[in-house]
Amino acid sequence: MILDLERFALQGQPAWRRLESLLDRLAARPARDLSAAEAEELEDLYHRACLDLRRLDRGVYSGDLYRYLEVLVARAYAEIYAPPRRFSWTWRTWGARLLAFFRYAPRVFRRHLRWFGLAVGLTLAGIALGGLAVTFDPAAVPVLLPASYLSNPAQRVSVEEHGLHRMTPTVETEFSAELITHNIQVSLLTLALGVTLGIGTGLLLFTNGLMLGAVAARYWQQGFGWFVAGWLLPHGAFEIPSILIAGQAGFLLAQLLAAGGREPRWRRLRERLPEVWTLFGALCCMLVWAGLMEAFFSQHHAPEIAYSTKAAVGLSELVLLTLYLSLVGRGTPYKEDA
Amino acid sequence: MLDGCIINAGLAVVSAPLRLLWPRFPGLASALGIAFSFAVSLLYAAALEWLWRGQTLGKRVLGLRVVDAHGLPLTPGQVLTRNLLRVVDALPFFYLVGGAACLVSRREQRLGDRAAATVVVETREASIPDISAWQTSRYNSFRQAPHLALRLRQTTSPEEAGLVLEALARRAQLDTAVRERLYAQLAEHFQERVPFPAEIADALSPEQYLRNLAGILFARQPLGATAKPGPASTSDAQ
Repeated sequence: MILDLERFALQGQPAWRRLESLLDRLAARPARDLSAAEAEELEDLYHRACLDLRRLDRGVYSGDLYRYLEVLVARAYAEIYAPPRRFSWTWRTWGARLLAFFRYAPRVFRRHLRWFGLAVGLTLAGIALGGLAVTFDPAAVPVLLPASYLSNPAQRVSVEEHGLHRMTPTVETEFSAELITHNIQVSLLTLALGVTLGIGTGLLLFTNGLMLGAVAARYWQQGFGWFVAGWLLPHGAFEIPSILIAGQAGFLLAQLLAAGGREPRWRRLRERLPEVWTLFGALCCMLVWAGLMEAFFSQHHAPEIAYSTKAAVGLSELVLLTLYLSLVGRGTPYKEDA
Repeated sequence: MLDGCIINAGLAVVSAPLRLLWPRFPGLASALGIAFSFAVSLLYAAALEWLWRGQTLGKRVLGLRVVDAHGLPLTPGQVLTRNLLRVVDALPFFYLVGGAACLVSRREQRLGDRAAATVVVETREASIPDISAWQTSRYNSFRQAPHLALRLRQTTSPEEAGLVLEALARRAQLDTAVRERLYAQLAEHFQERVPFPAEIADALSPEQYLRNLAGILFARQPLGATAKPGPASTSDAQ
């Protein structure tokens, strides 16, 4: 059938323009609620546009009019079948959102505890291997240790304790920003490598553990275990768990991307991706604190601050973090279960 | 790359106030600069794609948009995922991993797009097309031979009819030489199918021939009716 396009366009224009106007108003103000009459009108106009597009399709005409109707139908479909968006810029709303985030994050963490366990396991395996390698094979030291840790531990400890590397407050401030951004980048990479079905994430966690174990073993071997504990614990109490949580998020991402399950993958991703980024948001907050501690506290050694004090501070942080992740948000149902 | 240049330009502008802070608080100024640069590089694309429904400044210039692979509006999770996973797509340098992923993907998705279930599409400015391109109420000399006009309508498939209309609708987009050649080929094709008398066909340019043809194929006016001759179309004068 050859369609009478002139009449078709003339008859359809009023409805198409009305639909376009409605969609433009929704696009300009996504938080705007439609009245019942407007919602009904939107649906009616959408169905009419679908029918008009079908008539054109049947007539096998693929010109500008077809493209126009195609775009119009796609826009209307998205507005009708997408979940509503509510976006408020008030301070009260953002304060409430922040509070809700800090209550929600531990629940996400506990929900996916098995992936955290996997991250811990891989890191511990790396630590064990790195420690054993450095302990029983001196040739492993230049291979496993970062360049900044290759100097003689005794020399390094002496330099630090005599304040020869002491930073001014200005340098400390700048250093803290560098640490925070660097650590977030590394954590983000660990998370993002979840797209490799978690293989890249696992490798990164393992190599991180290797270096950690090698450094700890080298300094412990030479009798500077307290120094290392005092140096690493104040910021490590938050920094190391944050990289583990990054690994947890990476494995969660890998799980969402993996094939299988009753739910289509695209729907699974659409609904569950916020959990991945909730974990990322939480670890970013942890890394900000860790960066500040590392720049302003960890670099001060005995006799200025006793190592036992520093270790106690680090352990206290670890206990508080464990309590936060274990207890906050308990008693309220997970949002999917509500 | 375009967005990268925009980011660098924006950072250069924003860092100017920080230089004012430098003399009194150099550490703070430096820290703020580092933090701001990092935040912008990480979140510029995500923020704009969320606010502008899938577009950044660079995408607007190039006429591109990020959309959900199933036609639904983007969610914050999708926007964050496709942008923060750039760290993997950018490996080892110049988006080599991302580019390779696009090449092997049927929908040209990089890894971030696959994870977020999004695709990047060309935007189309949709507006109701000007229907004067196929205006059929003018005088049409084909109506002097109604039996031939009827045969033309009967023997022309919907695909051929759409082709004629498409060629007329895209008149302004075609180069003059290309347009003349195309119209001549189409007119010759239909004239061979249903040969109108020489006194009708020879008086028409190929474009006028096709306009008359469209008028016969798409008009609702009965083929027996004839309208009075009107002013010559502007296209004939060109």
